[in-house]
Amino acid sequence: MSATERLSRLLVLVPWLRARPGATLAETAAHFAISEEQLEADLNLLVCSGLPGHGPDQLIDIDFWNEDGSIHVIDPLGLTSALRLTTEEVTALLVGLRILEQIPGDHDRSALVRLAAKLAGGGGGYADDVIVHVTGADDGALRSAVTAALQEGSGLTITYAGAARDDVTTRTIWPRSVSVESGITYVIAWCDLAGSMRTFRIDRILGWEPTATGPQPGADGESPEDRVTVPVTLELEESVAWFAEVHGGHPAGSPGRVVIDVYDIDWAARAVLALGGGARIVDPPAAVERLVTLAGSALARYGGTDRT
Amino acid sequence: MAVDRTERLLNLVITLLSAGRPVSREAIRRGVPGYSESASDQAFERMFERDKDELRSMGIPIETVGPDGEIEGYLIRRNDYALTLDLTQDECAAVALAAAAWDAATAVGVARGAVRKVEGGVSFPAVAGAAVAFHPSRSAAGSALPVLLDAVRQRRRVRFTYRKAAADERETRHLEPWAVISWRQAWYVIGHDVERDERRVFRLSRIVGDVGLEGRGGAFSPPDDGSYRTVVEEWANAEMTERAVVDVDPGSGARLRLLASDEQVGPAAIRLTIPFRDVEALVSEVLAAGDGAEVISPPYVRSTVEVRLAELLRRHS
Repeated sequence: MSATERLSRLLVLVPWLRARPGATLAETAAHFAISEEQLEADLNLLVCSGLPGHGPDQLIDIDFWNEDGSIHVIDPLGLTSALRLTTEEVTALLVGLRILEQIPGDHDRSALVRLAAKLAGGGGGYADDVIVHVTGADDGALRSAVTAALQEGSGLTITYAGAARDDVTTRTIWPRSVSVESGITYVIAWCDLAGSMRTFRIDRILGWEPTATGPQPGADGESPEDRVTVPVTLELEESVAWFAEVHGGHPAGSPGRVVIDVYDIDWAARAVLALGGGARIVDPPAAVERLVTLAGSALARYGGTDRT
Repeated sequence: MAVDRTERLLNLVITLLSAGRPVSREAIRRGVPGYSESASDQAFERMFERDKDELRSMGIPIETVGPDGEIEGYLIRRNDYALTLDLTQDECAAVALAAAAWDAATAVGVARGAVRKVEGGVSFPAVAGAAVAFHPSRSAAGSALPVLLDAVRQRRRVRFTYRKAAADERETRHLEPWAVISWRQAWYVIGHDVERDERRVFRLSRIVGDVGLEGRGGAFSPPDDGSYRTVVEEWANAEMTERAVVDVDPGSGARLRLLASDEQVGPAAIRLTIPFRDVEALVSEVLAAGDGAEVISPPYVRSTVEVRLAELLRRHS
């Protein structure tokens, strides 16, 4: 970690803690995706820093030696606000907002508009130079229909084009969430035809009508909060370091190693396969075995057979 | 105890932020821990200049104060330093969601710092409650994106190595970039190709290695006619689409089936035709399908998957 990365964290830690009196070491470390040891090292550095002289009232004062792990900022020594956003940060948020505009879902659109105005008003950002178009963004009426269905818990009877040209089906779906991957928008919904949760590409929905009938019993899908997670340790090359950031990985001691909490070991194995070699599963052995089984059996399909 | 760099920078920021008036170089050297140990005047100057540059590159507004070219001292004005967005709770949730959207589309980590900064000013968390999930793009923009955005903003020429479609030929290109576009599944840059002397569109996922900035800012003026979107749309639609044939076992390869334009049910497997423009993205999807999928054609995609599988097994043995 570079000096500026650590400094960025230190500069935001003080106002962040000040706004949350009593936040614990554990909560804070988790929030900043660092270990508690690292957080304590940061806090120790902060309380030794301050104005020339370093006399009383010239050092940052933070109390973090309580039994319950709670942290209280006593003297922030001027670090009462976070640093303003850089042009790059404003641009990233404005582009993100542009993507959000084009996606159906129950996200609060008036908040998006107000936020964009506040960000742009700050004078930063050059998001005009970035044009964004997301697949499935063309049909505003369909977007609204999916959004309404999500918000009301109601259904849509859709005509859906499967992969083959003559594979058009009619089914009633109850949208539960929207997912965007590689610029394609998917609607995850309970499907009456399949009798289970299914994923639909929004650009293959050819026609739709709101439906008045209620969903099947048990049509709520799985609730992620009830599931238990397993920590998986990965070794990541620099080129795929983004994987840890996106999946909320925590540093695991040695450089390049992270721990990610997953619901499903099979998911972890497939995700590492998808990275194509830039990542390695270190632990648990069950995850390594799953990857080896999947990859080994897959490779066997390519061995030797002449395909014409 | 020696003062490490982070600590020295932190002390400098606090000192300049708290001072009501400009702080002179001498006062900094004497009073800010980490500088007084400098072996010589030159060592201090070098250290201080590097520190100042680095802090400024983080967006910290260090002001040089001095009448008529003489430097009196340095300070950081609170109004220029502080984040003053003044967001409501729902606007904070929007920040988190916008950051997720950006991360997924680009895999460039700059939005996370923004979320933390925004949270520093409010007592509630910036958490998105919406039922929208963003998953990382398998063909994310990569490291080319921030450099290109910078070049577009500064109107500076860029240089990069470009891999031509469906082949492994590479060539060096020089471009005056006008705009960066995210269209459907991919990122593109549009601008004036210097060697060809005409408007060109390039796909970011085919840029190999780093993008270099060249020359000075303000070197060109993009045309102002708003034609980019149409041009990129036409270009993206005309962009050569290859077709892969992939067999999937029944009950497997659900994501591959979503991407397919045709399906033929056979005795042992379902044969999919998958149009693609980005081979890396396709390979990634096939690998994720594990033993439930097999690439039949084109040969170069089949062998790429085979090589990656072997490499993955080797790394896990």
